[in-house]
Amino acid sequence: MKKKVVIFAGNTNSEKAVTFFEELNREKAERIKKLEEKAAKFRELFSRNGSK
Amino acid sequence: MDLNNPPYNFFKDDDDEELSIYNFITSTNKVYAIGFDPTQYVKYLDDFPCLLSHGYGLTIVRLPKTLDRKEVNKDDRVWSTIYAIVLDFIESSGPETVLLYHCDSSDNKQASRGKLFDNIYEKLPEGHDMVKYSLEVDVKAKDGIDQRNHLGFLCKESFRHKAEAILEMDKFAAYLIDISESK
Repeated sequence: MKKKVVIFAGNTNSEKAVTFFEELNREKAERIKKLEEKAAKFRELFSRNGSK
Repeated sequence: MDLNNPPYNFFKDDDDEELSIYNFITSTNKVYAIGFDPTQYVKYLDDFPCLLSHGYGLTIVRLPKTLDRKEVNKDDRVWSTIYAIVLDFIESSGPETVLLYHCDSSDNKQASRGKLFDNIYEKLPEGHDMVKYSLEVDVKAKDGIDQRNHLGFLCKESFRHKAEAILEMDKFAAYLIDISESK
């Protein structure tokens, strides 16, 4: 199921919506960075153990 | 994509106190980390108890980052593994678990990320017990550079508050449209 929402230019909310998603992106970036560090650590451990 | 392919072995990282993290490595040495974060959307969703009370932000990363997405899509076992991890996590966190996602749009690749979630859902094995509800939010800009955002959630079909969760996502969409007044 999918719903589509359109926020039109000129609507005073459009800039706030952009800011909102930028904030979501910043917070997402923190999670991505942490998971990338975990993935790198996992790869290192996995290589060291040499098993699958 | 065929989710009936055998998943790769996956490993749960028990060292992290904040997130539930799973890792796996593919036959071509690509490493994936799947994170389930109970705090990711809390501050936005305090008016949405069905989405929030058992809600977890779902994030998927892959190393190396520069990998060609077409190459990834060729490996069906990646998707069957992600599906197996999602089921394992829901098994441990409970049938009321709601997996919330938002596709990062900072590099303008949010459409392919949204497609990833669509693909996984569309290829679930017959008789599966999952529901996906998604929002596409187009923000039209005066300069003509529009921004499309993808977000949504996955839950079990049997989740007893599924209908309320969908209503809450619709309410969230209304909040986005009326963002200046709601928050």
